Amino acid sequence: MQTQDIRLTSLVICSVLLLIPIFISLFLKLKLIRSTVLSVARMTAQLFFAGLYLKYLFQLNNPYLNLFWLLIMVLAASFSVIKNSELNLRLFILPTFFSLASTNLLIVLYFNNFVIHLQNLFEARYLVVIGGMLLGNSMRGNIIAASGFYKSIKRNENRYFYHLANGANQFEALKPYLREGLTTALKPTIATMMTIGIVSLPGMMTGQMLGGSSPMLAIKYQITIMIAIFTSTTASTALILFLTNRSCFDVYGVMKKSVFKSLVTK
Amino acid sequence: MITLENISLSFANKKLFDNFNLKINRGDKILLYGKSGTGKSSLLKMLLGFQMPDSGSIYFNGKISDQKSIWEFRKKVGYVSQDTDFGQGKIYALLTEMLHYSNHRELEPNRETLLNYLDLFDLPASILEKEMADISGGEKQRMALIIPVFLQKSFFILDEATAALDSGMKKKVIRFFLDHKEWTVIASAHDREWLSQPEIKVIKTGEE
Repeated sequence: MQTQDIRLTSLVICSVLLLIPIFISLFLKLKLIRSTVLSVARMTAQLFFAGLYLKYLFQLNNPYLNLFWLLIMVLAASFSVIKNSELNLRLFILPTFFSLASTNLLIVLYFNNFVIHLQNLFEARYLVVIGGMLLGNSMRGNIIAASGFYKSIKRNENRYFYHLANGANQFEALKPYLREGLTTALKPTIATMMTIGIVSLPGMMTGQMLGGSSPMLAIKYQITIMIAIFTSTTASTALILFLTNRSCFDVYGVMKKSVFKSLVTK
Repeated sequence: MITLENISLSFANKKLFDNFNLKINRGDKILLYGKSGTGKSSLLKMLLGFQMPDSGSIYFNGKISDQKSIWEFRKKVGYVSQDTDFGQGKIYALLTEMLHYSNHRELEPNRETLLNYLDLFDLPASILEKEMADISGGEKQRMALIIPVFLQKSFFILDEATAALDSGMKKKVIRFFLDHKEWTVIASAHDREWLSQPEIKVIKTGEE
């Protein structure tokens, strides 16, 4: 069973569909035409580039190159995730990179070795693709947790000081915030697992079935991947909170002002 | 003994303290008295290491305030500020959590004493079962005061800690802290109930 090819002309024909959102945008003056066109163009260019490098990556299938590529993806993810938050790039880039890289790499290797029994653990088709999927999912949780954690301390400074000044050590005073940050980061994945298969068919499963896999194989991949995603989100989020704890507070346990990009207060 | 030496602090170009000096001996009862915005909270926060002075030094028993002495000092401190925010959960869960801090390992929690304190501060024992979000501002404030007492602290830093209480309760709370001769208390307030107590040493802020 082969997947139907999509020819370049068909891509153009598909783009004709965009006339509908463009028409609606015009009619309701949504002012979204420019950004629609731009985002579709960017998506097309980026994905063509991704298709191209994946093609060569799969062809070469060099373990070092694959690993290197995965790390580049982690680096890009770390930058984008911090840039989209209010956190200070300089303080957060290293801990973010380290926590995303270490947990995702460990989990993808575990997956490749113990779950799907790959001969070559660094096989591009699995390492880069599955690693990328874990990364994409865990980076969101990461930054939700980290920025939530630091914002919450800033907002509830009174509560934090109350505990510090009544005998808590720094870790003990931070525990409620750690719990809160981790819970918020994990809730979306838990919610997804609750409804998966009922409300929606996940993209990976759909893709596998289009590619010719049996539905049973596709769901087994989906189950294992969801577990891996949940684990990597939990582990990398906990790790980033622990790692940044050291650099974001002064020796007196007070949060540094430089944690955030711009100083809104004072 | 705590010594504040030549402390200066400014906020937004406003000088709050200019070469300010203060000695706090064991058992002292000190009141920082002045309008809001005159630096009372900042001074207490400097004592706790939450705020750094622009210049000057703080000594704990002759040792300069640094990352070691400050954490040592905080072990003895009970700190209550205005509008203490406990977060979420039940009151007893908060108490349990605070009792389990490693600094409190040697405490032997006694249910009786806790109930006595609650009674003294006009709080029903059932408050322990309540959600922190569900108790009133006044109850919260009294709970915030009871917790460090229950944790057997001996150095109390009370930042407008009685502001939310009615006059009768205010007097009761103030007497309670002053009557413990061995406790050191440094409080900030702008209400009269504190001023009229004989053992209090008043330091006026914002008058330089």
